[in-house]
Amino acid sequence: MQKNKYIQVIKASLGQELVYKTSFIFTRIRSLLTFFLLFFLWDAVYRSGENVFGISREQMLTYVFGILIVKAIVANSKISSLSGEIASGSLTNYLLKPVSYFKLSFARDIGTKSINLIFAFFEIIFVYLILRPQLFWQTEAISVFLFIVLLGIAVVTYFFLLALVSMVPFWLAEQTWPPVFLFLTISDLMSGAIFPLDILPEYLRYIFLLTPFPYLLYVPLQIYLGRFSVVMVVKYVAVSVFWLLVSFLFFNYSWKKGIKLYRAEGR
Amino acid sequence: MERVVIVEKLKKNFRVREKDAGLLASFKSLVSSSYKNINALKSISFSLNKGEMVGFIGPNGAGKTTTLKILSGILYPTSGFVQVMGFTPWERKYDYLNQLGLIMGQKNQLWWDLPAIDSLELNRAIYNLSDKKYKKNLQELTEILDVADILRRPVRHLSLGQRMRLELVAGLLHSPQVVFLDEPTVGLDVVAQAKIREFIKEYNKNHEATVILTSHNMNDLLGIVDRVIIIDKGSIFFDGKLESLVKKYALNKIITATLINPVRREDLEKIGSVVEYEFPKVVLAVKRTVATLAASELLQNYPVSDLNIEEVPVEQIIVQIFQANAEK
Repeated sequence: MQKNKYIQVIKASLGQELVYKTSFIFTRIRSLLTFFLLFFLWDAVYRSGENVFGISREQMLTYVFGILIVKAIVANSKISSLSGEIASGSLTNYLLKPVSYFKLSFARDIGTKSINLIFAFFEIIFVYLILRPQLFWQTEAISVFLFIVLLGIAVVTYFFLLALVSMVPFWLAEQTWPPVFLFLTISDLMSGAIFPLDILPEYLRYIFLLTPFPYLLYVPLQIYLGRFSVVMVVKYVAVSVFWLLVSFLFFNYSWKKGIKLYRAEGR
Repeated sequence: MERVVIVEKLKKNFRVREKDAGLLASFKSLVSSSYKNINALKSISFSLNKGEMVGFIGPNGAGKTTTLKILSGILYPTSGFVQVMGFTPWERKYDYLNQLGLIMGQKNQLWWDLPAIDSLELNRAIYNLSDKKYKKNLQELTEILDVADILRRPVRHLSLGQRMRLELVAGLLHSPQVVFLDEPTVGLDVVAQAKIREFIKEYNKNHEATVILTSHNMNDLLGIVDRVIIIDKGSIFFDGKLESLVKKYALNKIITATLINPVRREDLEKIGSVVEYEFPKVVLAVKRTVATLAASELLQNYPVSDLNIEEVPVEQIIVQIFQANAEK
């Protein structure tokens, strides 16, 4: 019965996504432009040699293609609208109904992500046909499997983290976009969405890997590329699960605290 | 009688940040902010029976909306006991929310960019309504509220009155047993107001629903509720039938007379205080205990072609109460 409810919500909201088609198209264009930027940058870097930062040209270009897909799956959530809903008071509409705000948002995210993924897939075929790069195809089933598992963990972790920063207006009513914007910038930088973390100095890479961000994008992609030893893979999977749990606990705790402060004000 | 809504010694305090005007004060507030505690509700108690419809009336900021928000489970109270249909509202159990409706005149739940029918479909999913029930309720509501032809138009293109009627459809689609309406007629023209009032009364009757209706305008409630709760500055100071409100607070009655010959104002003042005097019409306010006496005195001493003794309008009584309260 319960499950049925959210599937219906996905169906009902999928159609609604299409109303905002311009916003959707602009998002796709932005992601394509970023892709071209990265692609030509790395293409230029690799003119000097076949091996830069210990990464082969093939692997680097695959990484850049991978970002396009993984970002569409992981770093793509509408839960950030929670901040505006707290500040404007429209969160009330959800609290009044027999529905979990987060399950509802997650159900909607699944809808959005599916559409984005379909588009990203066609974009990739399109740019592949234009650029004809040599890509790295992982043949070991276990690496592909772990890549998919880590992607799943990353989707949920990203959701909890973004939800967490979107709850700031519970405490600071005026702060709707700044925390979310800061989060998005930091997460882009530290998750490896702009460059693989291998190009950083050793100590910086080490510090980054202490945060949850690299496990959202960089680590899954590196596992796909088969760049980690078995020991490292086991360790990183464990750390990913750790961050999933920690982000959930923080998220859960903050929601319970924050909702008591919710004022349902404004219009 | 089954008590559906029970509120006992309910208190709610808010902490709000305050800042003086000006740039300097803005910088100061960056470092240290001053907070002020506001007692929005100061220990209020009341209860409602099943099927009862009550008007909640008070000026802006009296605590009406805060009470409704606590009853709907959106706000947590500071202290006190609240039970609605046996549930504690802020636990927000699905069994509770399935039977609850809150409709606010100042807020909208309908998606702004989409036709109302899309929002209604989403509500159908959320409330898990069967096809049969959805179709029946939708047909019934759209018919009474006369909105069938605007269901498929994006909400942003609709007038306020049309939007409010659709808000009622969305809020009542799951046929809630307890309905809270917060200023449902705010900003609407007289005809639209009357339509909505009539509809609310009908819903209350047909569904045996328990209804609280808030307003700062007494006219909103006249003729549709028997009982009113008057709230101001976070306290209830009247809870009862409209007639007993009049008896308790209306110390005067109003005599309206049409004179045949002009009379000096001073002479009229001897009978009662002159509220209005524009020959030939004179309006006097007299103590209710001596109203008949004053009327006969007027008839005996001056030629009068028409005379009428009335109660002070409820609206006016309430204005007086609030003014007296404000001076306290």
